[in-house]
Amino acid sequence: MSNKLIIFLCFIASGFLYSCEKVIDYDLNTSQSAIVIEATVADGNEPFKVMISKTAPYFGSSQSTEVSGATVSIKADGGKQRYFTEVSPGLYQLSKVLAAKRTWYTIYVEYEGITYTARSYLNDMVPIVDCTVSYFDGFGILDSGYKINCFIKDPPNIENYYQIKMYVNGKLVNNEGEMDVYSDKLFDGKVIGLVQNSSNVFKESDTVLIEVQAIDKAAYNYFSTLESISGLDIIASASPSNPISNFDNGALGYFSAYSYDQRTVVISRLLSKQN
Amino acid sequence: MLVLLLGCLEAFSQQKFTISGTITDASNGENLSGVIIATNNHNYLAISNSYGFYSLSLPAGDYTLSIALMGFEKREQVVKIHENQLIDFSLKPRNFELEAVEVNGNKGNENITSIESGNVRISPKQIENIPVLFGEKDIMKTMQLLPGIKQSGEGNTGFYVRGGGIDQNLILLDEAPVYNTGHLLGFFSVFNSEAIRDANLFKGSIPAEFGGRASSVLDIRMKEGNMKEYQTNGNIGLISSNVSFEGPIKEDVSSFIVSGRRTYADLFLQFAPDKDIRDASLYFYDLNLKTNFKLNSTTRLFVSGYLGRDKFRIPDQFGFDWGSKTATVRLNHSFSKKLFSNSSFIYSNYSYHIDLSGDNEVIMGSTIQDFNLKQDFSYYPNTKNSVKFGINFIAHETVPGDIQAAPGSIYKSLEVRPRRALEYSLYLSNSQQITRRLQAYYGLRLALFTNVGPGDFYQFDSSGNLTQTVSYNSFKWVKTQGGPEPRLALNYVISDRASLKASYNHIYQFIHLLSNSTSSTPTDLWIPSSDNVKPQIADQWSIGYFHNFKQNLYESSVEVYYKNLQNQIDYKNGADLVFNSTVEAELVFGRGWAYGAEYLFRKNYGRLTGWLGYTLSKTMRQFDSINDGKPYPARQDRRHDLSLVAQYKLSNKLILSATWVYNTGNAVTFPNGKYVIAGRTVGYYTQRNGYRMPDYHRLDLGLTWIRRHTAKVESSWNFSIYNAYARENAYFISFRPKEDNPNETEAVQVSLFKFIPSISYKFKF
Repeated sequence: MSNKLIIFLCFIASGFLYSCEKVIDYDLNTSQSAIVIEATVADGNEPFKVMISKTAPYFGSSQSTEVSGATVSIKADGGKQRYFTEVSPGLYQLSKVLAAKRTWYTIYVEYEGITYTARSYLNDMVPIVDCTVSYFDGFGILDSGYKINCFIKDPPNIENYYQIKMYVNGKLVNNEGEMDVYSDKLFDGKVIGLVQNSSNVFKESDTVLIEVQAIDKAAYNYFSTLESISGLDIIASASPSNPISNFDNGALGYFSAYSYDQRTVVISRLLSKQN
Repeated sequence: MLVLLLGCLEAFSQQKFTISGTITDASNGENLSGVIIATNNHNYLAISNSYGFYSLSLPAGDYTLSIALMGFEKREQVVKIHENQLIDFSLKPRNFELEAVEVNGNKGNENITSIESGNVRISPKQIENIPVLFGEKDIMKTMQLLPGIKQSGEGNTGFYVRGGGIDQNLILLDEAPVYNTGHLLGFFSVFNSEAIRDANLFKGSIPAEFGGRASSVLDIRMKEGNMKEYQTNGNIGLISSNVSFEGPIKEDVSSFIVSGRRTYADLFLQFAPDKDIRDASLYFYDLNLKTNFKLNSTTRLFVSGYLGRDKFRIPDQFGFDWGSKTATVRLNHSFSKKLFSNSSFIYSNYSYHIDLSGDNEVIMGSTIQDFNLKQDFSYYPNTKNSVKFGINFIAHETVPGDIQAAPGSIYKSLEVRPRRALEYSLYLSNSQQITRRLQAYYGLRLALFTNVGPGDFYQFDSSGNLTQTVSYNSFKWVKTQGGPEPRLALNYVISDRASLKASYNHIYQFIHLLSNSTSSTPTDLWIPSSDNVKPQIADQWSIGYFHNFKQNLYESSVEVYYKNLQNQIDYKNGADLVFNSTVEAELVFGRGWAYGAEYLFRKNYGRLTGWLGYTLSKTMRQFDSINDGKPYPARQDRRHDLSLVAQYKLSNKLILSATWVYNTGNAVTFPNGKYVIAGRTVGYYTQRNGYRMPDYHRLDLGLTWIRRHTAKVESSWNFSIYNAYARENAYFISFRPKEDNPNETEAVQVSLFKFIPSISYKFKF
């Protein structure tokens, strides 16, 4: 939140105070490459997915290099160790497995002699109570259009964290520097409105699939710190650093086990604009 | 120390008498501080304090005293000393035509003879013609043009002194601490230069009567108000205007001054294309009020207050306001010719509020509030000694965050319990002329800090998880920290144009500013020391050589310092500083050190005046949990820092001024690689502060045209250009995927101010 505040202020200040932006040449060193692991376990029909890559020099045309030939496995607390198959370079999957709720999962990635592990807790699903659409008037660089807010009933007396993913007409909404993650710190036990954080707006007749994920604390910490180093938010931070990963041995990335609920909304014209 | 004091009291041979009194400005009755009263052979000398009070002890006899202060006509007075006397003096300001820029308010070789090293004095006359951003005269921006004091960048009011952090400067307005000194994100400071009499910055030897901040003290004094006649001063500029009105309540007995300043930046918003911006409000104001009464010949009462606020609101979107209020009541009394007392009661409050939805439904805020009682004595036993002692007692209360939700809102009102603490100290110091050449200042301050209830106090385990919360009731003393702070300074006068000075300070700092952003923002959080946060400790050694040339026409100095900092604070990766009652768990602790050399060369008289300042310095930090425990440069580590300020009197009506600044860039953290995660390209960071911002340099030009200058009326126009050769100095640099080819990345630099001309009009009647 405080990052958004900075953005507002800097935008206003620089917006009419004669500022300018230009692309410059700046030499950055390249450090030793680190491994990047993105692992998700969802409580649904889709396979468990692990994507592995490596860091690359900052200025260079390759994004990051996929890592092939790693050994990836997963184990639920009290369960068997199961191995993933590499379906394409850097992408490892485990299909036809049901994820159990209220369970700790541990992921093991073994590559070039080092094993990277991470644990995540798969929470109970928190159902969506309602999704409402509101019209946003637009402001400055932010377009006007429709935004979606989802309401859920937060389970009381436990720490809950949520992430919202939206797919508009089949495509994932994924803007630089914006994550829709929430914590129940200030609202424990109430019906919470998860107000859309990202600046994306929808148009009439868009079909939006909303997925509200119940994530664990480690994933919430990862995504919040990721938000602060991507996009505009990075200017606000005095000392950017790598997001807090739940992997050990210096791997970048995260492992998130979550359950989710989904709702589809077709945007239709509101009879009266909401304020 | 007591033995030395007693040893100096000459109890035999010639009878000594003491003269004392107050020195004022003849034109308006303002007290003058720093005035040198000396006998012609310089055997006996006194300096007036910040209330204009002096005390001089002399053997019986006849003397010619000279009373001098830069900017005023020197006065000579024959006095016959046969008894203790009360003698007040008033000095006439120097004839305007002869007046040069005042770079310090003291006599020719004050920089040689004074015990203080590393201290800077600024008066509003000095800043009058120096061009600054938008034509706004600003005492804090001008001060940053002197060596050892670094600006924190465009868009910031805070400053760094000798490698210390932004929170290590104690900023006092008539003795009240000011926690946030910036308006509008720091583009302007809260100090209205029309209301200010003078300011002293102590960065080398810090006298024992000051404490609580590790690196410096900026002691700003407001004008008292013209004792003789009514006067109106004003300045109309492009972005803001100020006006002040002062005068006697009863001539020569009491006076008042009221000053106000407001910006009209919101008028420019009307031209924005977006309706929301047109409806937005954006303004700040400052109000200074002061009154004083001479109750009798030895007692004076001062009451002053300050109120300032910034407001920023976009209806239905967002609202943000912040500001300070201070009030001080002070009573001066001379118990005898040798004993002067000042009692103060001070209140200071800083708060901010954020309206998350722009319609007052939910307001988040934070406050820090101080109540302070001070008692200071100055005792002048004889001409060789000047003793000061006193006590100071501050009750701090910080509300780290509270949420006020309107009834019916989905949010609920919450408050993080306030933290309360007492900061108290006592001090004793003496400034002693040991031999004709050697002067020594020695002092001891005992500074203590206690957390008190009611409140919650937290204990954490080594990974920062909360293990215990203990609630204490009212008045329970929870934890006390602090200790003795020796302060030492020496001045060895080699000749009347050269001297060697040295100083040593040991200082505790008990409250800390948590700020994790590049700009100083109003939402930065002040926290007290506690079980989990130890006080910062600074030790500073400095040594300097001062030399004047051509009968004090040129002053020069070189000072070298080394500062050691303990218990420095930084943040864990991903620290959550906002509205977090257990914010202490987000902090990590380490140490710092800084050293450097400061060169200053000044010309004080003549048609061309000004100075050249250069600082070569280094400041490092080392934290076990940051940068793998390897030392790294602090953000404010700028190797070279140069300022050149010049004023040239073209004629009696035209003054040309120029400022050129150059500094190498701040240390910053940039990525050493990149990768894709969650569909985004982000940087891979392996080093803290491993890179540098590009060099910064800028030329400002100004021209002052004095239209009228009579005894009754003055008016002048000032034209200035900020960044005259329009250099695009980097405000920040960020890295992002290219728009046309997201697989590739680029570096982007944003700069704030290019070429900015401005005009302002100043009047006085």
